[in-house]
Formats: sequence, C-alpha cells, structure tokens
Amino acid sequence: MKLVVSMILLSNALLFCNQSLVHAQTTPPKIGTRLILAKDKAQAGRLISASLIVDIPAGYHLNAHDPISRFALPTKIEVQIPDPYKVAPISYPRAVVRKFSFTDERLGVYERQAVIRFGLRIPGSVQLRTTTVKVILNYQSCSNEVCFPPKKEEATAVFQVGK
Amino acid sequence: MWLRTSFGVGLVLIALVHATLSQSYTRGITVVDAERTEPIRNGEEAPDFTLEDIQGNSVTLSSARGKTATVLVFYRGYWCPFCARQLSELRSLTRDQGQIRLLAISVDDHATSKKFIEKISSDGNGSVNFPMLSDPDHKVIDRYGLHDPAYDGSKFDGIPHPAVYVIDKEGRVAWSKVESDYKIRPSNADILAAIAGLN
Repeated sequence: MKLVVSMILLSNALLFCNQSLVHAQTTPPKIGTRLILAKDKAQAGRLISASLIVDIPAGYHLNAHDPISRFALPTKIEVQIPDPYKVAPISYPRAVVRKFSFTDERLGVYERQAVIRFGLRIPGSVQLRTTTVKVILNYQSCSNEVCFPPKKEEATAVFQVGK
Repeated sequence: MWLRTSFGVGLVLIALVHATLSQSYTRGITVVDAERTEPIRNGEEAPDFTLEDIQGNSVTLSSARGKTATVLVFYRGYWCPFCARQLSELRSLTRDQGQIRLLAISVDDHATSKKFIEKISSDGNGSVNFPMLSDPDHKVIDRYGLHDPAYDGSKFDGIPHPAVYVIDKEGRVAWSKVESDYKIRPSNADILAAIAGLN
C-alpha cells in the first residue's frame, strides 16, 4: 500500500514537472539587459566605451544581428543620447550558427550572453554636466521549438563630463 | 494515519494535474473570455467579414457565396517563421490550382504585410498570389474563436492561433485545422483533399 501511494505521488510530481517544462518552452523568456560604461566620468573631447550586456536564459536564444535567415528578425540596438554627443560605430558579437526544428534554414543566434559594444564621443565643446544615455534593444527570442513576437528592452547609464 | 494522509495528498495532486490538463494547454489552445471561446467548428456557418488587403481594397468573405469555396488562413504574423514557411508553400497551391480562392488574415498592418510579402517573394519562387488581409483590432479573429490570450496587453494583442478553414460555396465550414502544435500546419495536399471532398 505504501508503495502504491508513493507511485501515485511520484507520477503526479513527474507529470507536474513535465507540464511546467512544456509551459516554459512556449513562454517568452525574460531577457536581462545591463548598460556598463568603461568610465562614468570623462573629459570633453574623449570617448567612453560602452557595453550592453544581454542575458539570455537557458533553453532560449535571440536572433543575431546577422541571423542568416531572411525571415528572422535581427537583434539591433538604438542608442539615445542628447546632442552634441555622438555614437561611435556599434559592434555586435559573432553569432553561433544553429539548426532548429521550426525552420529549414540555419540561423545565426546569440545564446546565454551577448555583449554589444559602442562608443560615446564627447565633443570638445561640451561643458561640465551629467548626461543619461539610453539603449533600446530590439530583438526576437525563440526557444528550441517556437519563436515569439519581437520585443524591446531598455537600459540606461549616467556619466559626467568633468575637467 | 500516515496512510490516510498520503492517500489524501495523492488525491489532491491528481485533482490539480487534472485541472491543469483540462485547461487544454496540451492542445496548445487556452480557453479565453473573448466573443467566442472556442474555434468555429465544421458544419457551422463561417462568420462573414470585410477586411482590407495591402492595397486598401475591401475583401468580403461572402462575395464568393454560390460561386466557389474559400480557403481561410489565419497566421500569427510577419515575425513567425512557421507562418512564413506556410505562406511560402501556399503560393504553389493557388498557382497550380487556379480556381482556389485563398485569403490570409493576421493582425499585421498593410505596411508590415507588404514587407512580409517582399521577403517571401525574395526566394525567386514567385510573389504571394493571394490577398493578405489586415485585422488589426482582431475582430474577425475573435469571431472565429482563435484569439490567443498569451499576447494580450502587448503590441501583438489579438494574435490568432494558426488555423486553416475550407469554407464551402454555401458559406459553411467544411474542414478546419486549428493549431495544436506550433510546428504542424496542414499541407497543400491536406487542403486540396478537403476541397476535393466538397464535391
């Protein structure tokens, strides 16, 4: 009798876990974003290096900036910073090429973590001040079986122009 | 005492699992509180509608009544790779079977659908040769009971569960396939067989 009851409890637990897994794979992931500046204070006329760190949960991926497939929506960032600052060219990480069940084509993707780098040019004429830079990450995430509608995530950082 | 407690816990767990399964989650469809809570079934009258194609022309389902059958394809949107593959394949259905009237419906706006068509056509296998209709307020999607609530509140509110309907000349649903698995869509052969069955 104890064995029968234990079997019932175990099979129910396994069934519940399986349902959770199925649900997880068909639910969009929570993508984490952090904007890190190499320096939070710089002089006018200098360049600040910036990195957008994108954390991707296990079992999911983002389409890369160059996703190879013409139907895959690419990862792209928009950097918002007030004039007269300028954004130096953006560098996207190299993609991992994979094959998934939801497409016949190979896909370029980012897994686990992607770091997107760019620079912020501070013109020589800028006076002492504090400025906020915002980065908007445009992306499409997929599990190993299904893709989700495109989304945006934002990250901000603050820096000072000093003497 | 221990036995009774364990048995009781086991029964509660069984009840919980049964409740989870009965949400139809394993069928990939969640019951929603929309205008219609279940997809339109075979034998029912297909709700009539008028939607615009990418050129802004009005297209009415019932305009074919008494003349020809209609294939209705509801797809998730431009971002869905399975949908892209399905629509790409459907080009050969309408090209090879000239009498087939096919209408594709999504919540995408005209501009987005135009870009989607350009992407599909860029494989060199011909352009999309059927109307892509825009249902941005998902009124038609709701009336067919296809509303997927997983995206409610987002920019993609109203996305449908992928579905294909064959509507006969009298305006009744003769055949339907509503997604129960993201990866599986009816083939052109399935649709042709359904149309052949109308005769």
